[in-house]
Amino acid sequence: MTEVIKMEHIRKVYDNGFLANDDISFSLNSGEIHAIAGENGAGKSTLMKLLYGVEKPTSGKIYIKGVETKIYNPSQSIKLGIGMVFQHFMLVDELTIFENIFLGNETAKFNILLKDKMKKKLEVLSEKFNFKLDINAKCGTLSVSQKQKVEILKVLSKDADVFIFDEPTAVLTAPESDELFEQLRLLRKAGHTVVIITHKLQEIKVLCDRVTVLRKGRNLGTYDVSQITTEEISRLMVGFDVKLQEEITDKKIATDSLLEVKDLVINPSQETRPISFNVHRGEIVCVTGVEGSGQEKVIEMLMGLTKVPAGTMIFNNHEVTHLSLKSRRELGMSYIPADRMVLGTNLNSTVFENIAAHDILKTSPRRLGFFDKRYLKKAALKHKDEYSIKTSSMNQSIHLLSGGNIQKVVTAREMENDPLLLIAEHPTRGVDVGTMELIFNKMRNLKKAGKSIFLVSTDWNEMMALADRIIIFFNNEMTAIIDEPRLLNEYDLGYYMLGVKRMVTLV
Amino acid sequence: MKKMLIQLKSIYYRPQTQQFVVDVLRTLLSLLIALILGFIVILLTSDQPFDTIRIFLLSPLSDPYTFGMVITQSVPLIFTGIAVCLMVKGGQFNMIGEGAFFAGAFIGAVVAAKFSLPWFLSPFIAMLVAAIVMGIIGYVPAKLKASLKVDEFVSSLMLNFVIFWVIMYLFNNVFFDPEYSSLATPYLEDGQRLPFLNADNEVSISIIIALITALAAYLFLYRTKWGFAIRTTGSNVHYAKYLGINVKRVILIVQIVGAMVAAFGGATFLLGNSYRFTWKALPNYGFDGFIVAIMAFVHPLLVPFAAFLMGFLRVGASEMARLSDVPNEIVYIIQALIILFVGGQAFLVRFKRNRLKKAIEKEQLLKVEVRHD
Repeated sequence: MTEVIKMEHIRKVYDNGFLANDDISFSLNSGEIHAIAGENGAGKSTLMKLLYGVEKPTSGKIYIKGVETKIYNPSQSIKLGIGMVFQHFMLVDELTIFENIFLGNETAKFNILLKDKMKKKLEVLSEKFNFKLDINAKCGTLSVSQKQKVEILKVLSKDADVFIFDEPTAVLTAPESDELFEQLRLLRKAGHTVVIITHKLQEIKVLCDRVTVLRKGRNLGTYDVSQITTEEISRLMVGFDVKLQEEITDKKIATDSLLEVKDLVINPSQETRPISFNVHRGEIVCVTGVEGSGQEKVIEMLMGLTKVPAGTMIFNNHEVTHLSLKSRRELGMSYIPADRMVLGTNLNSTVFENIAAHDILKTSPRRLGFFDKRYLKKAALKHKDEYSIKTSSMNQSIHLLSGGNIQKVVTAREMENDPLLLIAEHPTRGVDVGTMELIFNKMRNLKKAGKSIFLVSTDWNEMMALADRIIIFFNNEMTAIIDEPRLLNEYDLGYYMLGVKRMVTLV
Repeated sequence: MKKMLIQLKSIYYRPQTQQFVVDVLRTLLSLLIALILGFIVILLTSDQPFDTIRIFLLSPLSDPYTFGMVITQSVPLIFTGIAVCLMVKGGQFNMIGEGAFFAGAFIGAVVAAKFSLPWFLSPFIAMLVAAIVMGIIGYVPAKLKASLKVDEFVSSLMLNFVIFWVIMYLFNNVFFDPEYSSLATPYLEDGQRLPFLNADNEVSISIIIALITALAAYLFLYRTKWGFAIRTTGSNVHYAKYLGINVKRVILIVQIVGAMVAAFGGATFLLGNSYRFTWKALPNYGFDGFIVAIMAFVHPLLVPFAAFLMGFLRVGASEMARLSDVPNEIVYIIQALIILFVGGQAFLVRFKRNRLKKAIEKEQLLKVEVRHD
């Protein structure tokens, strides 16, 4: 166990004035799996980007194997033996796995590629770390977890010692996560250092040796995982005790359906069974599936963002199949989109205008279109407090907020718009644990008031905390409708999501 | 007292305030650099460079008449600057301001000469007619953009020529004064023109109308739901659609309004400061509107300042051309340099960064201080 990397008094201020890291010092040993834990906006990703050379620290020192080093860019950090696997994979879909791995890092003699040599190297690595991949397959055909493996191999092929993973399990199902953990353990055994950025406490406990907790850009200490409980970690992360208990509500047998989708076709050029489901009044229906399985398309069609090729949708006794988004909103639909940076907010605008957008647009023409800024600001301030949105003022530009806080702005705006049906895509993604509980409660209140929620989620805790029913998608079809989510186990869910299992009634 | 000082300081060190301060400093500095480069050109070309520079900088302020000229010069720039602000805020790079300003002036002159109503009603009616007519013409590129996605930049630029030649045809053949020695519209009586604020330097109330327009544009953009819809559409169309804003209608309306403001400005400027319409070429005020809007960070309330600055430079340059051996064109060099620096995003970016960094440190310190009080 030797110290591989040491960071001392690191401070990072972004151009827009955001203080992401404030005097952080920490170190990494060889042959360990080290977790960087913290809420969103705590500065985890920034710290790792500094180490990988994507960003430059404002002040502070980085020592690599005891030598003070300045890292200017990723290609330099790769030479220093540091590799990073991002949440969004950087692969060329049209190229094969083999080509992707050696892209920009080719072994060549007199400018002629030494393919055999590279293949040999790749085989050795695959063997050693137990990667089962067909290296001649095109990357576009791979599943998310396979793509992640390609990314890991890419880093391995560059002879990295230190692996940084940015929330590696966010896109994986439970069985896939287990597989990834096995591979990470193999890396540790081979003496590599693995850093994972995460806010999942379970992962830290199962996988990691040490954990460094960040909050609001500060380091709250590095702990041996064996000597700290998950409760203690979560208290450090949030700053107070959190109880994420599941509230088991009595299941009302509702018969009155609010939304009915019949024979919907997602991709007309593909032979699939059409989709039919309904959402009752006062019910939370959760839709899940591996990214790109068709649930996103269904949401787009529900909101009228894409045209419906075939099928009908009836909402609150109105046929809405071909209505515009505006008329759907007027009928009582509200929407929290997954893409909060482009679809969900106007980053060039202030926090106030983003929270109050619907109210501003509802201004009656009798006021000559002039909205009551003072009144709306008061309402916005109330939402800000309720959802604990961290901003120095309402007139602050929203792009200065952290991702989690922007998510809260979107969630607050859509939930306080008095919807009949709330369509929510990953409403708590990147939100800290405290606010997550608050949003859950708000959703339960909506439900108690007889409103319905159509939730898209891949977060197991979120589904368990909220869902009355779960619909699972795979390859533009439904593979299961679970009426009793609490009787479902995580592995079965994973199998439905991967299309391995299918409900008999739906075949 | 001390508390108030701390409060003031904390406002000053807010990132937003700092951003504004830096932007203003950036503009002033680019103005300075542009002026210095302009002076170098003067030094190279003039026989008495120092006199020339003195005339260029000081003559606009030297007597009430030239100062009045600065104000008069800034009126058309305010109007076209506002028109550009509205359209650019809505994400539309429409050049119709040029043609609309020209046609507005012509229509204003013709219509005002037709009526003689009491209390200056005729110029106001003429201004409204000009705005409405150009609003209808402005519908063409706007509708093409909204429905067929025809690039408004190209279509409006081309439309300017159509407008220009149609107006010239009407001017040459229908609405001209046969008794006047050269080509001009009929003479405007006192009641058919806008009154002077000050007859000595010929500043008319058009400047006040221009300032009111700027204020109205600000209120419209920042305080009404339509303004909100326009700004949202301009900066993020996807989000605007997601909110349920009728994006097509916004694109249509904002371009029509822009054309109307420019035409209204054309009529106001002409009826405020001329007795006849005599232009035989496009006056370029519409294009200058873009320069003014960029200098004003596309904010309606800053447009009058930018327009005044431009007016100042122009009057200085024309005085310089009259009294020295350096031609008027020097002002275009300076203008171009200012745009290069103000528009250049990376100019002084390190200064900006340091400034913000300091602001954050100070803000934290001040928070601590407040807690100790």
